[in-house]
Amino acid sequence: MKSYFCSRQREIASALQAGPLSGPLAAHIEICPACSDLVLVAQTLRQARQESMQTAHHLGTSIGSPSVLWWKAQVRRRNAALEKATRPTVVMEKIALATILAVVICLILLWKETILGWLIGISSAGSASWDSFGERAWFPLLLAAGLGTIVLFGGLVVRAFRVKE
Amino acid sequence: MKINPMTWEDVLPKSEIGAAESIEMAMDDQAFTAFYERTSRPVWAYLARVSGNSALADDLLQESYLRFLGAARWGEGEDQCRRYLFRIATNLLRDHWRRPKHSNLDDLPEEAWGIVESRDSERLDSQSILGPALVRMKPRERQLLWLAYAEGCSHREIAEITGLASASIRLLLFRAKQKMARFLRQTEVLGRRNP
Repeated sequence: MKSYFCSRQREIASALQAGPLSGPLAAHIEICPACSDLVLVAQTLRQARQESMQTAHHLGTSIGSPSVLWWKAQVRRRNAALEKATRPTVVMEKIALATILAVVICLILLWKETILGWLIGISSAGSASWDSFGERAWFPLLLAAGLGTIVLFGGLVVRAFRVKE
Repeated sequence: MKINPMTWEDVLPKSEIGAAESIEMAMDDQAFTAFYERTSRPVWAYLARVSGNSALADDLLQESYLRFLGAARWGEGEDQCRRYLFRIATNLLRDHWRRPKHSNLDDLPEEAWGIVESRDSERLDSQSILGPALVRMKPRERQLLWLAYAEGCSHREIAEITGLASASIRLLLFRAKQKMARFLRQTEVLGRRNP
């Protein structure tokens, strides 16, 4: 028995919404496989819907009252608005961090030779006098102090932003 | 000189605050409660029957309302809001199914879909016949059938809720209905043989 589209399906679907079928429509589903399928599926699903709605009495305890949902939605909306408002600050914070890192890397690359020489100087300091070491070491020491200051202030700025948030 | 403490609300753009207030004015707590009372059970039934998992249905229902309230379109009327709520629920179901290993809704193993775990299963008389048939249906077919025959949605409404092309709904629904009717009859016959 092969099913097909039946022109009376819409009429039967509307009648099913109102209640059980009777008269010519009831007679029609006896001879029409498509409409018979429709009645079987629709009635079973509508019955299942009724039963599921009856078992849904737990919703008040499982997901909370509508007032709780309303309040949660308000909090979520407020948080979203706050996040949107603070987004530029967060972006600037990231840019500041990236800039500090870039400056540090550039300085290291720029004075690579000097730093290497200074490190070699430290390793051979045992044989050299303190005066000659001092002459060679003043610049890298100044550099390290400068970098340390930048990193320290950068950290303080980031921390200040975080505390404000 | 007294300095007033500054809050984040002070620095929020006025337009955002205005938008939030306008939504609140359009849909207040009481209006939402009334809407919730009318819609929560049908949406839960849809989620529970299509997913086959009542605990998941609870979670998704809550999230559906939160998202609905976040983007409320109360001005468009209750019918539109109701469809919008079903659409959110449908999208959440789809997201849930896509989250694990499965990439396509239709690739999901049908065995993974159990009969709805009801808290009082003795009340689900139709479950003995509907459950096994639903388990054998694809999730999308269950969605279509439920929306069409349990909720009584039109093809246009189903297209709006599921995001499928309106023209394809008729054929998809026809096939799903045939398939389900076959499964229901098989289950009925088996039930008569093994009462």
